[in-house]
Amino acid sequence: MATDTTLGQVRRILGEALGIPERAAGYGSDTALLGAIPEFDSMAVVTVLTMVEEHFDVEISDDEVDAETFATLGALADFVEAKIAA
Amino acid sequence: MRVEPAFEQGARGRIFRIRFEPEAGSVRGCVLCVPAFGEEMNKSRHVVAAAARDLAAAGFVVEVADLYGCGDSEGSLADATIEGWLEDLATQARRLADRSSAAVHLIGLRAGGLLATALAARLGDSAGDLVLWQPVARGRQVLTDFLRLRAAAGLFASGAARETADGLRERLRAGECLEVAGYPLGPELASGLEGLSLVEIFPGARNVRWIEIARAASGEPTPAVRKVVDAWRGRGARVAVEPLHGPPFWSAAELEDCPGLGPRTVARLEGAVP
Repeated sequence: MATDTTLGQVRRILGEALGIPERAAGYGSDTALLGAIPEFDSMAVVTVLTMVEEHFDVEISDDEVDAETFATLGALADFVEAKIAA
Repeated sequence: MRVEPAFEQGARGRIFRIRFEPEAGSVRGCVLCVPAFGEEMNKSRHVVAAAARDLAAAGFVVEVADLYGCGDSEGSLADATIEGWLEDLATQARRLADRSSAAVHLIGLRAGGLLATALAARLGDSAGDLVLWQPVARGRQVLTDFLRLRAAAGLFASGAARETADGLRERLRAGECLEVAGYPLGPELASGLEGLSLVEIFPGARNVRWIEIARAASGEPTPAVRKVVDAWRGRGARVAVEPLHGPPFWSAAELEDCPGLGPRTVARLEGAVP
């Protein structure tokens, strides 16, 4: 089921964090985030990081993330995938 | 339904609490509700009050207190400790229990869920059901969330002067008191938070209701929730996890309501977990 993949879960987290669940449901791995979605400001970045940490029970250190991490949904999902596997 | 604010003596200072009482007739039970921490507490205050009113209308005496150093309670956050908070909560539970012969049900929102679980373990049989509203599983997460309020500005910056949550954590460990978003965070509270983790606290033999709140429910508990619940069930706890439709009102940019929270909690309290 698509929603069980890491991408699917991150997509849903995005929808929750930005308050746009219906819009986020249509996002694909190429969807641009930071700088492209108006709701994706610096506050949103912090909210997304926190929700990802709480959802997957991982810890993300500030040193691990940069603007590229949030460039697209796919980039973010890849980052999370790597954290889970670590 | 009556709402009665009061200050009551805590271990180190007076604690502000609001009691929500059913209007008349028999009291169905007592509930102690532990709030969220910091900005989450501010944003969720009205939602907790609304849910408390729903519970009171259904016959429960509900008390919501501000922790020492928080909200309208006495003391500075810089002097607060987890142990002190748990002691005050236990005293509050005992006072509530004195009003009725039944066990006191515990509800915790977010970081309050961590405290409520620790309290349940501490109170044993004198605590009834445990209801967790989107609990934070690790105190370390509560601390990180809080520190990010200060570190967020430098998230995409570079250079030695940039503050990171990890760097701030190190300074706390070294004994420094930090100012974060206007709150004075003491090293003892930080260390106490780091030591709290749901997976390591066994809630005991009681009905545990874990409610996850989301705008778009997936129907599946998250990996983090599964980790804790599996550990608890492995030790014999009766835990039911369920989704509730609603916004992340404890963190949303604008204040949001969650009207389903009260009714759902009323429906679950005192019902056996299968």
